Amino acid sequence: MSEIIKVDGLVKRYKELIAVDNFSMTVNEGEILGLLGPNGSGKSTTINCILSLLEYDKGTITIHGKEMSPKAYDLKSEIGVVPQEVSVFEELTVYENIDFFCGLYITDKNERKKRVQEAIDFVELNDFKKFRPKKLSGGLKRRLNIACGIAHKPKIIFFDEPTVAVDPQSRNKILEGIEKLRKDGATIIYTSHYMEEVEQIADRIIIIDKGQLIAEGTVDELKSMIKKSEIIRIEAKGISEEDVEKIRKLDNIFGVDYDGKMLKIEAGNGNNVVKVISILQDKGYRIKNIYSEQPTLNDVFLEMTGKELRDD
Amino acid sequence: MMFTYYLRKTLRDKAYIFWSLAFPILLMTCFNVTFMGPAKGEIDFKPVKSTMIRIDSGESAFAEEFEGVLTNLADAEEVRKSSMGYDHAVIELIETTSQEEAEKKILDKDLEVLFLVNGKEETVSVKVGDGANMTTLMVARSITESYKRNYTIMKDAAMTAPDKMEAVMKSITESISVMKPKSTYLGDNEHSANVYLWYFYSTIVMGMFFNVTAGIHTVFDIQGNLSGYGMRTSVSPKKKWKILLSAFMARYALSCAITFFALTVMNRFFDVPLGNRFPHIILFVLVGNLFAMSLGCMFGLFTKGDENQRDNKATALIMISVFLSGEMIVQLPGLLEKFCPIVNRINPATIMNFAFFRLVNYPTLNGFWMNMIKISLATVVFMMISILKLRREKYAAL
Repeated sequence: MSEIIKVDGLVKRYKELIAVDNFSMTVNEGEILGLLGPNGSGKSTTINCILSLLEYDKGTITIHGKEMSPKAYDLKSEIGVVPQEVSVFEELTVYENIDFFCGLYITDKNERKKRVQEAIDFVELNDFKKFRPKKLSGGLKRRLNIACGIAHKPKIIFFDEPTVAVDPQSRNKILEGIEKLRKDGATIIYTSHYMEEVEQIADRIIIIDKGQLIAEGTVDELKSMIKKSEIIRIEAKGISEEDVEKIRKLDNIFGVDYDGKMLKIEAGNGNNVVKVISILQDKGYRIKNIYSEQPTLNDVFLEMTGKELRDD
Repeated sequence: MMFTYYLRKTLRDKAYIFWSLAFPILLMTCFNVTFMGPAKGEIDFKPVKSTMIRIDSGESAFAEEFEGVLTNLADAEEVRKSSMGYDHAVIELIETTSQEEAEKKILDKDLEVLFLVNGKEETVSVKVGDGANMTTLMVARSITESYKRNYTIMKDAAMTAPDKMEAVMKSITESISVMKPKSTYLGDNEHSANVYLWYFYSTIVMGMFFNVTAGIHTVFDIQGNLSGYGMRTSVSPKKKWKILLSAFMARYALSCAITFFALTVMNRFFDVPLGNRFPHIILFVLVGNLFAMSLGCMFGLFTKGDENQRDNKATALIMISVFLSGEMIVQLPGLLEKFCPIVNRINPATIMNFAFFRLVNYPTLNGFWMNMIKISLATVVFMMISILKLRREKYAAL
């Protein structure tokens, strides 16, 4: 896969605040790159710098090896943007909105007509073509927002938190749509603070916090970067403090917590479950249930930054 | 394509259409109802063709004095000497010998008002032709009512103080003044202005000034740091000046069309005169709307808040400017001229009102050009500042 976007040493300051701090990343052709970070981590700022909307203090941004600038019209024609806020004209209908924004890229009327219809089909807004945005539900508005950004069939699409305040059904539709766009050959940069979404659709993830790159890789690669490889929960009553301590001292165990009913063990690589069960069985405790959970991206974020990825 | 969509978008903007078109027309309707055909003043007024026929015989002071009043009103010199404010006759006396002849002349439109005087019964009845206009009706009504009202006083004067008769006659003539709207000083050193015209002109100017919001919407449509759709257009490969031109011209064209429509309504439906300097009126509309939009662009670029907040601030500003120009209290510019003349010099609504008023009412155009130059200079300055700011394609913050 060839490199499409390259960001090198990007620094963006807002007076005293450093929004993006020496941030570097690459985006490969045909991939879905997830940019994951809590609110205010610098995701949108980075995207806006790439889009040449924001002035930045340091660094270089290239697309197809050419420097990105407001006057790089050839590069801009390959880009589609789906902003975080629904950014459409309230006075125009669904069809007119898509046609207007598509018209900024496609001048041929017939070609535009075809693409607008394809975009409407894609987001399934056929029944709402003549509706004004204010008559659409939140989810439908989001779909319109997407249609306006993709109607001209861009090769690179930026999705900036497209599922904020969207019901689960619409959210799934949006994510399915993004998968389909990738299959059709688009390269996608997807920013979100919802780790489940990013985990679900991204080929590669960049975790960003306080404007800095925290980690980068596939979901598996990111999870393998942390010590904790699984969380074991054992439902058993009456485990003595002495036995809890014994478990705590086992190799590859990073945390043990017991509330009288449930024993929670954070464990690293190795056959942890077997060891723990054998201790409990030797002491005659009755084990009711055993659960094993894989770490999430939140665990990755937590271990790397010491805080939760999402506090809402 | 962009021009059409921006035009469509603006046409569907209910708030904009209300403030720039519906509201001014509503106000004009209110003014028209309140002042009953206000503009029948200096511009349109022509002496009403009248005659008097006695329907009785014999000597009658009542009939003779009535004839005297009509003769005074038909004499330009007498009218000019009075405090009525006209410099021409109010009526034109047409010679007729009989009621039949007068009625025929009315049918032939050679005569507008026939006063039938009964000297014995001391009554005056009036006949007017079908389709008589408001001025004719008002003149006829005013003359008869004033005469009837004052004749008793005149009779008393004749008996008790014959030497005061002339003064009484003059007073009766002057009391026939409802056809002439009151004049008031509006802060203009050369001329007094017709109150009612001022209200209408001020309303037209107000409608134009609401295009400040069109200017605000224009910059919101293209500035990436102001709106999401501005951001979309900023990241597109379309050159920014092209988008700006489309967004601006669509609104400008519409705003001018709206003003021309409002002027037509004012002239045709409310009979407010526009004079005959049509090229100048076109220039006035073009410059006025351009001024409002350029002010709006600057306002949109330099104030804070979202689109609605900036719209509201601009609307408040327009209201203040228009109020100070005398939209609600017509004497205000006159008062300001006395106590704080600088306000009249810098308030764009007052400058525009004076330009319009001078254009329609004054024989020379010096004052009009002076006001147009002031507004044009301000427009150029606002445009330049806006363009310098709008040229920016990367923003410090979004």
